[in-house]
Amino acid sequence: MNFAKEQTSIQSKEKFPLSCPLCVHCGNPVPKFSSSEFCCLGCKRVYQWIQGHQLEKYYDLKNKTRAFRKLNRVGSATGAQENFHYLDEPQFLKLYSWETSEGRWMNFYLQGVHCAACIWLTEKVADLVDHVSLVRLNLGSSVATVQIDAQGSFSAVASALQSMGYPPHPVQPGESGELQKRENRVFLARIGVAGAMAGNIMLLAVSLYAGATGAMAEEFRWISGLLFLPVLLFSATPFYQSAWSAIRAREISIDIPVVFGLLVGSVGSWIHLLSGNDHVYFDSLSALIFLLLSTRYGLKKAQQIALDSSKVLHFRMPSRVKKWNANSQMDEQVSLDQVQVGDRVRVAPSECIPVDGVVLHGVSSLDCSFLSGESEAQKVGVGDLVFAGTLNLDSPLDLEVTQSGSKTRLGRILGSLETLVTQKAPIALFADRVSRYFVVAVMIASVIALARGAYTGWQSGLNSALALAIVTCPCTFALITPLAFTLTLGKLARAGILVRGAEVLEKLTQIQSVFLDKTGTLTAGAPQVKHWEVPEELWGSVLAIESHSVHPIAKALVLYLSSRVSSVLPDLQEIKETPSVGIQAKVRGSLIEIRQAEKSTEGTELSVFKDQICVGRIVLMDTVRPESKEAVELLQSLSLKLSILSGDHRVPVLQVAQSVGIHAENCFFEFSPEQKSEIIQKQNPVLMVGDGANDALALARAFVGIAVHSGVEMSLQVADVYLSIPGVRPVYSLIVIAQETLRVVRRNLVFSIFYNIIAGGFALRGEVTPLMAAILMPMSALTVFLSSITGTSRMKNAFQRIQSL
Amino acid sequence: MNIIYILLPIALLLGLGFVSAFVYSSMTGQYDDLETPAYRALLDDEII
Repeated sequence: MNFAKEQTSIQSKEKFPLSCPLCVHCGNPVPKFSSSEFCCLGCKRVYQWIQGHQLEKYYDLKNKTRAFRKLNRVGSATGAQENFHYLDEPQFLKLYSWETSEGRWMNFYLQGVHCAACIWLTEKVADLVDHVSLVRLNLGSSVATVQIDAQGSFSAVASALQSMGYPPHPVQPGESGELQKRENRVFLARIGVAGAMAGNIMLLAVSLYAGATGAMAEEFRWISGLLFLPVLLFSATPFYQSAWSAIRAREISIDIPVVFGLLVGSVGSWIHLLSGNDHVYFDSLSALIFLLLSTRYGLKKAQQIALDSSKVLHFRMPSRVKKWNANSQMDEQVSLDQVQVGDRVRVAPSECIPVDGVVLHGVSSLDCSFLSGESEAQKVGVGDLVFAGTLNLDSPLDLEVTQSGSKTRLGRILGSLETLVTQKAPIALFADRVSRYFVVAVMIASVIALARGAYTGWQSGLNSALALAIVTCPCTFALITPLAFTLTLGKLARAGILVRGAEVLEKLTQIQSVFLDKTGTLTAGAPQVKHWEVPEELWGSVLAIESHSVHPIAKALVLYLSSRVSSVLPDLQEIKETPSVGIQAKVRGSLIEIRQAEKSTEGTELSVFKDQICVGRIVLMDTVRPESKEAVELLQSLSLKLSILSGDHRVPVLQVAQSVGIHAENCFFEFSPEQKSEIIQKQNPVLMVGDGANDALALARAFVGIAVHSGVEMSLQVADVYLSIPGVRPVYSLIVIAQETLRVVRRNLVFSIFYNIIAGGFALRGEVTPLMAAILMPMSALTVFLSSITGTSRMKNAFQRIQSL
Repeated sequence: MNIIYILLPIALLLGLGFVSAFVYSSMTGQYDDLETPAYRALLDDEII
């Protein structure tokens, strides 16, 4: 692949030279210009804390297991020691904790837990903090359950966790969560029972098929019948419930044929058993229930992995706020729920703004990319309106709260998302549509077969009705049709593309136009050095100065320089960062300033001054991903209409459009999130490719929404597809794969329908015995199964394409 | 083949035992978290 090389150049921003030392605590590379063993101050503090409490075993375990699921920076313990007293307030306890005879419990979501050592360390809190009886961490959900006794306090636990570098966030114990847990447990028990019974019945059935006769065969049939009862009465109950609710709603669902087959089969088998006839079908019926339940369980588990959007809001926001108390004339820490309109809050640099408000005091710049998608920082001063969810970059801000909680702009966006997500809930599945006709046909046919029994004797009438019900068992629809989807979804997931469900694949084949977000989708999403004109002797100083700032521009400069500067960095004096102006420091006696010039069309321009004399110029720009052009061309080859939808200004949008080959009239710029979703709604069926929460509403409203690599967690909640591969390249392959999967499914359906019509026809004429039916049915299922596994050659090519990215 | 009349009830009883063990373990939440216990096995108790 010719773009493989370019790919590495994009990713190289994540990588540091191999030779550089790794942080003693977290294992991240130590920046070159640092003389310490640690990558950051936070790690150093955590290391000292751990050493101070004789918990060095943490590092042994960590090195031994090497179970890093991702190279995650351990927590963000760089902030000031936080005050957790609000955790002990009775009001808060009432909402967040619960009491049992053993003590008081609370759940904490822990940021940054990822390996065995983390489990060991967090659970050690029970020994280290007094009155804590138990800490149990669930690594999968990152939730720790803490139990304390009457004298204990949760604030002590939280401070300990914070010092370990796992910032804790209290999680409200949702009733729905407990209910879900219970439901999962019962479901698992149902599967277990069905599996055990099916296995035992099949053992007995083998001897029956092998020709056991006489009293023993009779007893075996009776035992099978009894073993089948738990399956019928316990395991299969979800099917009855869903079939019954479908009937009441006058809809036809896939569960109706399942229940129909099950009931006719079991009633018929019991009649045969009681009348001494040797045709019983307990084996096929219990196996059917077991297989169906297992598939359903897998699907259900996958769906539950997604967090609900309210939790995401929680993690984005700090859970406590510095509020100005007019009585005590001091700042106090309160939980976000307690902030009211009119309160004064203070937001420190590099903190997320928790409320909508007006700036009372302070000047700073904000990273609004989470909300508006603008790649460049926004200057704010006294009297400006700021929104929750944006990041304060430079200096502290005092705000007067105008809206808080769910009434903020972000809260309202999230609220409308929640309703959208529920509206979108599973459209009738593909198989359901076919089974609608199928069920009706089988029902009518069976009734005809039974009615014929009036002429030929009820025993033969029942026989052919039963043969019909079994030979046309809805297996092919209920199991095999989703199989093609499941296989595709699984392969895509392994390639780094997560698709929410089978219906998304179907919808992908129906789209007519594609809307692409600019920032982070077509472009890299962060400013990069475009033009560099600085004398080489100053490089080290610039790097040293910029590594003191958290501003995106500073990060871009550090990134650019860290691989280019190899000398030891100079010491700095009198570092001063002026928001929206620049940063300055004294290096070896001379004053070095890096100032932001006025914004030009080319991007952000910086000037470097040495002792008031301008000596250098740097231009930064958000650059187009090198592979975007090819990806756009491929999408156009599928005869889709492509447009760019961005919140950014006209000039950068048009520049990007021109460089990737999208016509200027298909560009929409300076669109707010609300406007974006409106235009999407007008143009449906639309595929929206975007990143960040600013696209969340549009992603949810779009016929199909794809969230790309750097998209925040929230995008994932509302998008149908998540790409972990950066850029828009995989979109083309994804559409092709969806089309081919649908083709396989259609192929299977055509086969199933033909098979069912032919076999059903014979059964109706009474020419198929129930035993023949029991053999034919698995054979047809096997054929469809093989067809699903083989796929098509175009599909294989598309998968190879994705894997080579 | 009369031995079957002894073996079969034994087999069924054993099966019943395992099924009830499974139902018990799943209803008491032993399958709620399938990830953490695997790591927890690596952690030795300290000798005091």
